[in-house]
Amino acid sequence: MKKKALSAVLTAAMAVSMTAGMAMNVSAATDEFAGEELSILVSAGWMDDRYKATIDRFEDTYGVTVDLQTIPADQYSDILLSKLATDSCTDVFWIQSNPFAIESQIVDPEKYCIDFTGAEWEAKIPEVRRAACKCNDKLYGMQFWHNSPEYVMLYNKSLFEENGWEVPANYEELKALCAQILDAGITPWFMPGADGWQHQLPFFQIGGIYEEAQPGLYEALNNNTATFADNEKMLEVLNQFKEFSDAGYFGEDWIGTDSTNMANEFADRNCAMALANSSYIKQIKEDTGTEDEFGLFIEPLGDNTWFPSSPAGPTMFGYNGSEHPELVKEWFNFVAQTESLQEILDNSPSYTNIHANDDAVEQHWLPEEEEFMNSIPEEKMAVSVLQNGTKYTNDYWMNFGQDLVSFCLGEMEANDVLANMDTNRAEAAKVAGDPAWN
Amino acid sequence: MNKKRIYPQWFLIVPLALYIIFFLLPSIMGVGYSVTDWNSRSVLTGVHFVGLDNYKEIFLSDKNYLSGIGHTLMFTIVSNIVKLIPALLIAIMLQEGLRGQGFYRTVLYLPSILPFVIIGLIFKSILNYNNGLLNMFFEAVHLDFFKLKWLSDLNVVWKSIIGVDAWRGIGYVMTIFLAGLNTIPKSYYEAAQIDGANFWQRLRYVTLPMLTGSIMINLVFGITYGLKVFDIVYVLTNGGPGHATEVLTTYAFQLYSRGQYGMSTALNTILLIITAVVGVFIVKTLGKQEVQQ
Amino acid sequence: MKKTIQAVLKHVVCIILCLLVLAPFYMVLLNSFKPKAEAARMNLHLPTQWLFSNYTEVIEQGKLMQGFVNSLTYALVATTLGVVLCAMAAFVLCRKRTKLNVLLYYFVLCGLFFPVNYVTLVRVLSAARLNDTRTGIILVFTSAMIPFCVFTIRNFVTSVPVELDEAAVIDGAGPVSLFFKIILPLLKPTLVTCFILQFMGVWSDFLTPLYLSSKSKLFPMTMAVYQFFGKNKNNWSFIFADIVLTCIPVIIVYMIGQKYIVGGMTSGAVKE
Repeated sequence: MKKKALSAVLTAAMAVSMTAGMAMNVSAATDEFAGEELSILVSAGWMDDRYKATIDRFEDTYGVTVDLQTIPADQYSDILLSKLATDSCTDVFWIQSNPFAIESQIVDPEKYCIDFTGAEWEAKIPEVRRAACKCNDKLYGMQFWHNSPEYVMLYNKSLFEENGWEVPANYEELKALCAQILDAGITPWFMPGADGWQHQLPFFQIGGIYEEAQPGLYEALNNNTATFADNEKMLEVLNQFKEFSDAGYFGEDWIGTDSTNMANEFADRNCAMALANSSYIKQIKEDTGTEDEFGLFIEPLGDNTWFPSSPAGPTMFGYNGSEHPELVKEWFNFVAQTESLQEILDNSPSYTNIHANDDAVEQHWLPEEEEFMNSIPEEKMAVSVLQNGTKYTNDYWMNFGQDLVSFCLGEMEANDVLANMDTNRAEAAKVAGDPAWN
Repeated sequence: MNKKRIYPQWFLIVPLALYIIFFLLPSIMGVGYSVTDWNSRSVLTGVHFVGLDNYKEIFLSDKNYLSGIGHTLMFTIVSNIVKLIPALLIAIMLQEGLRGQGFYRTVLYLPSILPFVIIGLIFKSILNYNNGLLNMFFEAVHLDFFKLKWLSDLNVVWKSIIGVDAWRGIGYVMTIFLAGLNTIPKSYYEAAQIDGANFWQRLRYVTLPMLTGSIMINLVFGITYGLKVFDIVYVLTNGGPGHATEVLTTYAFQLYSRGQYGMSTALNTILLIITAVVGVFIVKTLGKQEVQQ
Repeated sequence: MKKTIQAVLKHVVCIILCLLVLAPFYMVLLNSFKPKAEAARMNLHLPTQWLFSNYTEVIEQGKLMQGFVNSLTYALVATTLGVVLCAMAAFVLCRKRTKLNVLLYYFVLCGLFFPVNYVTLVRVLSAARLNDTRTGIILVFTSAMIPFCVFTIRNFVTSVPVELDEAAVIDGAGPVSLFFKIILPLLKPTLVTCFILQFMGVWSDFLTPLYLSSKSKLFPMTMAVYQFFGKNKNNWSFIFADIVLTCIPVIIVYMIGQKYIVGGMTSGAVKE
């Protein structure tokens, strides 16, 4: 009893002294930066209201103002490029990073980025995400993104149970299921082709299966010793995709349909499945008030059994030409604090977790997500998705999407879709001066 | 009459200076990049003069730039016919003292205010095959024949784009015609009326000749717009389905987003030259007619 | 009798046209009052509940007031400046057709065809120390509309009889008072047309301010709508409410302006 009391007093005393220490730090900082302005350039959807509470606290703590500039998504990279090229960039900027992106998008991190090497917060970034934050062993970026299952099959569980439909485990089962669902007058698999960037996902998210069919494929693709063209597994998946398109399993006019109405289509039971983020379940329920339950399963095209891991995400960088680099560093330290991470997560209605090495952050996993994640063996998560595991591939996302549609319309051969990807990657490699291609 | 005194040359100084410094200079500097290897790696390697290499590559490459040029020309011609003729007729109708014409004019002008993104959003929804307003309307009036896959059928998609473009643009063209119609003295029509001229005769012998200026303006703007068309295609189909609606500017956009800035500028420069030649040709021919009157 | 039938027919045509134009606008307006998911359906059903709060939230979240002031400043100042300057230039270019002036006319006309290059534009602007300022943004807008306005206005100056100039000069008017007192009023329909078209152009152009400023307090109103767009989060009712709000000023300008387009020459000084 005494021991307990003693330890309680000690803890309290420690807490007091710690707070006092922190308060002192804070007041010192306040004087140092008071009146300055920290500007942040970001694409719509990457920060939004999620960072608002953290920004407010940062402003109060340091007596500074934060000028948050949210740019329309399709203009963002052009604007950033122009700002970097004319030496007029904001103190902080973001890019959608993956292990190759710093080199291909920022190009000269030495010139443009503040070198954070040795910063304490590096430890908080999960191991798998660090490659997207570093270049030539120097730490430039900070990536805290959510780690929900990205673009897996989301299905209406209630609808499945009522009709006695089973979750398919392979391609044949999926095909049979789609036929059944279509017979019931429901679109089996909602495919928003008119968005232009979604219908590629079924092909790319199952990267693991390509690597399994041809071990070492990713590395070979990155060393220019393998091609997309003539890859049998890829051809198989493309042909299956077209088969589904022809059979109407994606809906009568998937090429002309965008995702605007997707949540309602689920709630109205007009569609049964779609490739979506796990947290989309939350959005369907909240937006439409449906009472149906939803679940997740692995996309079975190409008999895939792999979970799509993607070490990519919006990543924050400090601008080397900033007038107050010390304030920028404080901002990065500030964001990496547990309190900030928790705030960011709590203010993200569409995300259920934040991926950080910080056990003190309380995650809000959905039961469906936990169930799904627990059902997948660890080793099936080891291979990254195709577009972020191979160089230059993601840059041609939209072109591939157009070719895929051409293929489905019968205007193009499957192998030409793949061959075009090779041509485009070679072109990008040439621009980048990649030795493997020259 | 001392022209120097009534029409002082200094009236030109400020507008010309602004135009040269803040418009022409940056644009020409931009065009200059078309003869360089400017690309996303240039921060490291520098920008080098490469002569006409970019142009050679455009004309000799196996990429389908030619079909892009074809689509661009087709769009320019068709979209202008579809916009100019109805706009002229509507403008005439709204000129002759119709009650509530101010309201009608304002309403017809409305679509050109909307940002392209929003037009894309609205029309992708309206043209949706299953639950879009247009197909639902055709179903309701039992004209199922017209129920089409507006944005994904290869035979229909251009018509949809041109239709939406006309929806957006007619009011704009009409406004310029209205300004022109207002400069025609009423007495001309009165004289024509006394001579017993019918509507078409009045159109042919009074309106059209007096309207050469506005027609020229609309043609030049229309053709420039058509050749440079980007946004309406980008927001509705982004060159798709497949590559069915690619135009020159969507190719240039793709090159730019891949970091091949020099190539992209070269493609835009080709477009600039085509547009300038056509535009100056129209101004010269129609300008002469004007003098002859 | 025949006239009445004609008038009725015209009204019918006009009403059909208006319906075609207004249907999508009606859709936007209606959906701006709906809850988020209901708005995503984009149909013409009445809202199950009218959410007027969409508007107040959009105004607050999109910082619309600040954007509104910016947009209005850019559009009003740049367009007024542009139209008046171009009228002066067009007047001289049209009336005094020396070889030099014809050449200058084509030189300005070429501007219609040139694409904008923002990277070089920023460089020029920072060389002039005008980057990140309202003045810089306004000057760029004004400069960009010069080819359009000079070309349009010059074509209409021809319809103002030269005899007027001569009469005015004989009455003892100097060039400045000739231009501002006699010519400008006669060109009113054209100038108003140019003003309306260019006002709208500046109003809806969010890219120029975006490239030319690195402070969000210089951003225009039209930028706000993109804050509600995103790959996985589209707030449709907010998007629609924002569109309604951003359209209103342009509609007002057009409604006021179109009254001045009518009349002009016919009621003006040129009656024989």
